[in-house]
Amino acid sequence: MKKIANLFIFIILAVLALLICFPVLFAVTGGFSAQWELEKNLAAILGNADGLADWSILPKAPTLEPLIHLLMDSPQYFVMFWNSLKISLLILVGQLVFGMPAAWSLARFVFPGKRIISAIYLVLMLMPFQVLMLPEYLVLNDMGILDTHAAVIAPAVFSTFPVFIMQRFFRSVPEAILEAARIDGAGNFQIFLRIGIPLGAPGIVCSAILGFLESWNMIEQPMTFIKTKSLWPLSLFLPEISLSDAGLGFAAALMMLIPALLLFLSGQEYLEQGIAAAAVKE
Amino acid sequence: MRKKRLAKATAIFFALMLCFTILSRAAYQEGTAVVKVGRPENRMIAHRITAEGKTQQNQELAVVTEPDQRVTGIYVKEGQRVAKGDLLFQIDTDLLDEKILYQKQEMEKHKLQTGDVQSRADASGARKANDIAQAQENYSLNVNRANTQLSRAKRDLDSAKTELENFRKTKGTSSGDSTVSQQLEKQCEEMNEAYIQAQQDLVTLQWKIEQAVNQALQQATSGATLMEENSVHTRSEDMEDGLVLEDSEFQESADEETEGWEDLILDLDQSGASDNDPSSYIIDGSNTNQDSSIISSPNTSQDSYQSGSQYTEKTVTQAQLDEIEKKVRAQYQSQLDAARKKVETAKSEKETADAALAQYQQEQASAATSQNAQTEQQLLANVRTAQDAYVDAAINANEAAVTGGRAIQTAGLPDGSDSTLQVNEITYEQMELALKKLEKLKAKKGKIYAPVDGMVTKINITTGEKTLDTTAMLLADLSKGYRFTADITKDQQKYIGTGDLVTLTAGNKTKLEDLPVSSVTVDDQDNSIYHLTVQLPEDCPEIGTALTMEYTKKSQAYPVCVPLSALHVDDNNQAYVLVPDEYETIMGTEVRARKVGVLVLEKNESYAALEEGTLSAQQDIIVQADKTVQEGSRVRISEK
Repeated sequence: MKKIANLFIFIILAVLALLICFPVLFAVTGGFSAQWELEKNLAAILGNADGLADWSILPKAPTLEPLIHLLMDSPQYFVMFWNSLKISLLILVGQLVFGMPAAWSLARFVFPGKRIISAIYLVLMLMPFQVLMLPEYLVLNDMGILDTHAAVIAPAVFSTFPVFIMQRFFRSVPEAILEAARIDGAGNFQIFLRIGIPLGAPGIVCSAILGFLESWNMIEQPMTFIKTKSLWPLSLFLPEISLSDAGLGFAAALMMLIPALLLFLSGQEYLEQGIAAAAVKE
Repeated sequence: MRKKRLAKATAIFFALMLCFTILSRAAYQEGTAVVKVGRPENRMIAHRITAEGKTQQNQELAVVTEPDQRVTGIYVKEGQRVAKGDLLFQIDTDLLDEKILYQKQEMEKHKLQTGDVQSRADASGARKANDIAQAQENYSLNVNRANTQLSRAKRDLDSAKTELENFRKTKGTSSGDSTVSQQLEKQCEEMNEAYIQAQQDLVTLQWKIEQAVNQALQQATSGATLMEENSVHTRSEDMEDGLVLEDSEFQESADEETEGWEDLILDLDQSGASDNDPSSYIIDGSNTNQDSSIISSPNTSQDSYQSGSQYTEKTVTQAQLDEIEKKVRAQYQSQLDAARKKVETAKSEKETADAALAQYQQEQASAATSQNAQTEQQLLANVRTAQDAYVDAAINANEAAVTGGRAIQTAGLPDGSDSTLQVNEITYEQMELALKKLEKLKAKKGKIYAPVDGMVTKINITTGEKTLDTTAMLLADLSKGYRFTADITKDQQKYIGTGDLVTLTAGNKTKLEDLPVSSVTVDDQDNSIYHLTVQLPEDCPEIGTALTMEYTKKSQAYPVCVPLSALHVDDNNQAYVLVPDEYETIMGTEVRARKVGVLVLEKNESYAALEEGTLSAQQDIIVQADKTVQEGSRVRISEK
């Protein structure tokens, strides 16, 4: 009886999982569909045709043409790809450089106003970009880095979310180990470097993966702070696509998925730990 | 292990992305046109016109000779200069003699034929005069005979009346009522006269109707003019004036009524005659000849229809002819009915008068004794018989006059025109002229000489062959000078005209400078070609020498001139230039071509002058590209 119930639950979950995977399936199918087929299927939502959009699970006329067109005839895509990679990596490095010490200090040290600072961090993390957009714009403008990659990188480097994630991991480091290090004569920096980082590695990796995915996918920030098209990241490539380039758009989406997928697969276990850690109530 | 594979896959992915980045950029640059740019210049537009042509003579003379003569020798060649009086070619004198003899014989034959024609014409005239005389004689005899019979009948009537009168006087019965009897008899006579007159009018009217019908049908079918018909009509009237009473009055009314059917005939001429309806037929004698026994008009005879060539061309349907006849008859119907009624009335009145007289006499007779009555009845019967005989004789006399008149009219009608004699005379004159030419050629012993100083430009005869009707030789008249002719296009013609000074260059570099253009005329067949003529000086090259004409016309200075390679024309025939514009794109700052519409004021093979206002002097213009460049095309400006 229990087996039957488990099977039933499995089927339900499998169906839900399949539904969740549909966007990815669309990207894969669309990336290998002919332009005429996509125009026919999507004319109702992207063109002027009446009725409902249609979709084929398998393309009627499979072709590599959109992919070849993207890879061979669209240098704009690669400009944006490398821009995205540059922005994401720099943000990642910045978050590690500035986020790790901040998270360590909030996790391991006791100092006046610590609670208030933690509360501010939490509040800032919860604020959406629309709230921060104008202040950030004013600050970046005063700094003279608007319409540069730095305008996107700098705010992201000082994001509070990685600090929040890493703080949870650093706090879980046993105090006894730190005491032993102190007895052995290790200073605070050595303790952070030799004990904190290795023991908090899952949190750091988790934070890095989540930070990379966030910066890889961000749209509002570059759209707001960067006017020069040649500096745009890949996330702004798709809005430039029209119905006449639908195949190109699906191929681009497919290619855009690959780096994130590789990164996710690389740090999958740390990511799961990080998400679990963020969800555990103290 | 899994992490290693993932790391390897990541490395491969980024390596591939790097490769495709390079490849796509290379392809992108390959699709970018490399262009050269320039700026508008202030300059003049020079139009250089060149044309190839030849020297030609100003005047050419045709040397002709009699056709069908054998050429025994040609003493010049094409391109050879000849002096006036030089022998050009000779023809065979033996054959020429034969031709002259033959021509004379032909003329003689023609002369004899003309004599025969003249003789036939004279005989025909005599025959016609004889016919007229015979008709007149018959007319005279018949009329006299009828009048004699009429006189006899009158005499018999008078005799019968006298006899009756005498009997009555002897018997003594007529003394008291002689006045009544006389009045009744007088009334009978008047009625008789009226009856005879009515009968005559009816016969005349019927003849007129038939004549009018025939005339209308003739006009419809032959297109003969009404004027001619009316003249014939008038002639017939003249002949009958002495025989038929009230004829002129009748003719006036008939003429008025013919207007109606003349309109109908005109309509037929315009529409029906050209109608190719299958039901239509070609008029022949059988149609109109049915009335020939009644109407003797020359234009309605069968012969005239068959001989006239135009009758075979104009066709009228039978239905249309019937309609015309019906209409004409309808117009006369009221007159005919009136005439018939008049005859009937006259006849009735005559019979009434006769009956009244007979009744009176019957009453008189009944009062007398039976023997006397019998005698008187006999005498009265004699009077009535004589009276009827008199009426018949009067009608016969009238008919004889009408019939005889028609016969005279028919005999006097003219024959169709015959121009055979005149034609023969003209032909004879032409033969005489040809003979004179042949004799003139014989006088020169068959030799043809150059009429002027010149050059032989064309020879159309061959030794041993016969001459043709065309020109035997063409001579360039050197005394009239030379000219240069060349063909130029319509575009070139816009920049050169009469009086412009041109330079002519021969193949051996001989130059003739500052020669004015004497004419520029459009070709008769092709209006895109113009013929240019330049009169040449005396020391010019020979006829037929090829020359190159050059002429340069400079315009005013234009502030905006661009190379012709920078000027383009779109599908709407609108001229435009392409200018480079910088755009911010994902690939960075790119240069793209932008279309600027311009108005071309003037252009030559190299430059075009544009209207000011659309392009500034500092505006870069794409003047050359290694690929086709359109609006929006990516370009890279070459610095070279």
